[in-house]
Amino acid sequence: MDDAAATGTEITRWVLLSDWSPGTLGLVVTLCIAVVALAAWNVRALSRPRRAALLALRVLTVLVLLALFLQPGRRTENVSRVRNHVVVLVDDSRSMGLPGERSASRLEEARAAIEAQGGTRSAWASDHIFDFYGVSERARPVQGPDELKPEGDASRLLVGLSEIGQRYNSEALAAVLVYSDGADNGALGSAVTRGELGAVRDVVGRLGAPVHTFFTGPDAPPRDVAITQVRYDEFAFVHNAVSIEAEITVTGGDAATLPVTLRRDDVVLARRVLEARRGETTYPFVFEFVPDKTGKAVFTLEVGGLPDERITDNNRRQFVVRVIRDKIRALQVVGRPSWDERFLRQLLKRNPNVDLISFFILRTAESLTLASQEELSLIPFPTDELFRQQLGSFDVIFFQNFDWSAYDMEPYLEGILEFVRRGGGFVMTGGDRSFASGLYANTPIAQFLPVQLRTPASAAEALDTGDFRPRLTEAGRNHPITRLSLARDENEALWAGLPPLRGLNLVSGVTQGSAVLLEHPDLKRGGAPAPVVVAGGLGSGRVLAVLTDSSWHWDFKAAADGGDNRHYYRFYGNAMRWLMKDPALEPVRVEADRDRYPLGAEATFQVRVLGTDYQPAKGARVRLEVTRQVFATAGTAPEAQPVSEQAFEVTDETNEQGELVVRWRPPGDGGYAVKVFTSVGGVDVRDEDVFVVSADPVELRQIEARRDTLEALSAQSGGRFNALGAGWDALERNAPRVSRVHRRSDDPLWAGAPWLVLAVLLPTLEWLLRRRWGLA
Amino acid sequence: MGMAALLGAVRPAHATISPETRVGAALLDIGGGATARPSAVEQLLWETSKRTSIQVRERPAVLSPASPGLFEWPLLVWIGVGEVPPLEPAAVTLLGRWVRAGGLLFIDDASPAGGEGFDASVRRELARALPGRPLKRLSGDHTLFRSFYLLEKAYGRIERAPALEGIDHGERTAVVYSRNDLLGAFGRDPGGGWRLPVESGGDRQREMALRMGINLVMYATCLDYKRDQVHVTEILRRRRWTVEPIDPNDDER
Repeated sequence: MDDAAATGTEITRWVLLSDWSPGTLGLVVTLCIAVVALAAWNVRALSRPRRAALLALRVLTVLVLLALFLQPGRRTENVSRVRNHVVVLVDDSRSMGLPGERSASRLEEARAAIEAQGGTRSAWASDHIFDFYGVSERARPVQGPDELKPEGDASRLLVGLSEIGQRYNSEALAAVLVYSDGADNGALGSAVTRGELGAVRDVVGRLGAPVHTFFTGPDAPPRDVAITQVRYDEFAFVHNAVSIEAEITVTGGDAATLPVTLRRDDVVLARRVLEARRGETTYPFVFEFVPDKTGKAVFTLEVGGLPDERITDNNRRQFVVRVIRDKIRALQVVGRPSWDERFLRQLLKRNPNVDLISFFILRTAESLTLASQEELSLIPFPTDELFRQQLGSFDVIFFQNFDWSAYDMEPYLEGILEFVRRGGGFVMTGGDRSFASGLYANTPIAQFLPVQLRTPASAAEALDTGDFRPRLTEAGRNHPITRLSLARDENEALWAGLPPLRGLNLVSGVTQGSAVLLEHPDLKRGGAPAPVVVAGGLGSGRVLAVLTDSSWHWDFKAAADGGDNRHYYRFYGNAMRWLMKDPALEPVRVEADRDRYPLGAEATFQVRVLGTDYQPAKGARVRLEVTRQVFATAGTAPEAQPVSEQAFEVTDETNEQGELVVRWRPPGDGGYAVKVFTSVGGVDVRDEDVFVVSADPVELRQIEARRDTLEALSAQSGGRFNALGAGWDALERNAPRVSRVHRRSDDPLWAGAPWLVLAVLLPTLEWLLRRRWGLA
Repeated sequence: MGMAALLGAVRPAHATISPETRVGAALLDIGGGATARPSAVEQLLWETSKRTSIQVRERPAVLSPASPGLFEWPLLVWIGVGEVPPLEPAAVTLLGRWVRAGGLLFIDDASPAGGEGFDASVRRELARALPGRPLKRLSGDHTLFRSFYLLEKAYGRIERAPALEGIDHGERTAVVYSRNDLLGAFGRDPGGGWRLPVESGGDRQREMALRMGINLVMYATCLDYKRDQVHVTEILRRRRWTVEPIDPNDDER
């Protein structure tokens, strides 16, 4: 910072011309006190007038000698003085555009008040330079307050002052004058609210100059409804209750009834009513919901507006919540203990990402009862709890040789169908109580199984007991479930080397859209090889049919020749990932690089396409479309359903890595969805990501003027809090600094004859009087 | 189609996909132990099939410890009546691999009273097959004592040791050792009578020994399922997956 200097100023002041060290000075002063004290002791026997006269003479004598010793004088200097700076910091955040006490804008009033101090500015011009700054999110130098517009998206006065402190060293600052409404939404506002002013003290202390504040007002709050706070976790777990806490403030209005709406994308999750009461400004709300699918979603919290409300941008808040999976909650229902159940249970138990709940039927109605209930460790099969009360909490259900008809399951089958339709995973493994021989034909379960069932007339029609080594189908070669190795040839070799299976549930065929992954090498059904493993689904759910109860051979028997169970674990591990829709297994993915963009920022979308072999698909033609969620009337009509309008579209091809990168600048704030469409193996596939573009009107969450923040600022710096129109004349400020002395002259007072006469006369007179009055 | 019609449907007469689907056990042919308790394993499996939902292969295989056929049978039974010579190294290796792969080895000491030769042989061979994993006493709250019946101690035809011993592998007990001639309580003669008397406890003791055996088969197939059930309520409640229902059309005040 360059300082301007004024030269040739004459300064005259009192000085001591002697050059004694502090130690000598201290010794002499002590001696003087001792001399006076001794004199007082000597004259204690005299009458009061005589005692006073002698003591006065002694004190005068000591003072004259002391003056001679110290050599006082007047020094005149001709110096250069460096003007220091008066910083005028004017809040130009958006709240300053709101009405003040008298005019339409707080900023206008601040401008006028500064203008009115023109006389003082002229008077101070010889000592101070005036620097003007606007401050919102940070301090910015300006030529004058006329340049400022109330457009800042936050009020962070402490940040601004901190930056002023870095620009000027403490000697260069005379004072800081802050013009603001005090509606600080940064560290100052929260520090004052909490009553913890340490950080404020530190910042203003580093300035080394007083901060004088000028409060624009108004003291009466504006007419406004604002969502001041929304507390939520950016990550939530699917199937776990999520809380969103909001704080809404209503100021400046009479009692009012306002609708409050929470949406996930376009779906209304909850509607509440805010009953605003006079004298009460803050209204907390808590919303709870259970996400039922993973992925990101734009949430919109909106509150209705007051009549004649000036600012409605703060009536809506949008944010993105990413719903992820915690542990997979698996329900294993087993019709009877078996080796197949035993090894699958061990697999699921060993998976640290699985919370396993097992229910085994250990005894049937036909079993002999030779012990009392107290001697058995059995519990009733909790069908209602599992299949109605807790069904929605599971991610995947295993039916393992489970006979539904023997356990009054009929009322729950529709619920399981709905569970799958809504995105649940389902696995049925083989056995004499599974598929057709489990009498599942024509039940709700059959509606989502990927195989066609027909109630069998005989065992031969439902079951085959022979040994076989299943064969990978073309679909199986490419499917993630049956990928034991990424290398195609190695994968086939691994499947061919697994121990053979024994026994197969026979089905009439597979349902449309399902994929046979493993098939019987010889056995035909309806002209096609009998399926062994089939993947399918219904609605959002995925279903796997394993039509044998001997897949445990891939675990236990694989060890016979020195092998291990890794392929068994890989197969079911792949199956779990596929059932849970692991994003890494999806054929097309699109991701925005951020969940939230500031208005004006560029968004980057990364698209990745996998081929049918789950390898990167080079040259895949991808259509990318961005839609924007548009609200009919900003903030004032939460009942109105938002509409999606297309904001951007592009079609391009993926590169060698199967990727496509698209950059685009969203035109306005709001919730956006980026969707990609492509075709993999002739099947249309798509994916979607969401993000929010926000002007981030953090400034508008708190628009009520606050004098307490400005009072705290002044108090902590030793400055003064002022009304807006107060003058600057009486404000304390640091004097300008002297940089150079051109001439200096000293006028010693002690060197004149009167001082020497006094120095002789006074002790002589004291001596004469002492003699007369009988003292030595 | 109505459910009533389905409930009236007839299940195929065939009971399992294949006999191998059924739960069975193989006898280890070591030192003549495989023939020491004739029909005992059959009787145990038959009782298991009658009292539980488990379907069994009643006839056990008899296998050499060096036979790759071990891996057809996740449950092996080794009965002994006296000292046995050391196993061939190949058999020791295979037995160790079989245990680690997921098998459950049940060892039953059917020696006459005072006979310690088999016990010493068992400890010696287990130390070779599963080095560094000595037999340990199974506590009274082991799943073996509650996998189907609630039992307070280790029963058998005799009461030589009140507790079972075992070797854990991972989260499961892979070797279970009884010194109470458990299978001796099960064998029947061709006339249908019990081959051997049980000592001291009479029919009740034989019944309790049968329960012990059934618990063993149940543990082999269900592992620690019963222990996990204690935690089911906690696991179910761990996930807070419901909230007070909010009807979007109902205003809440």
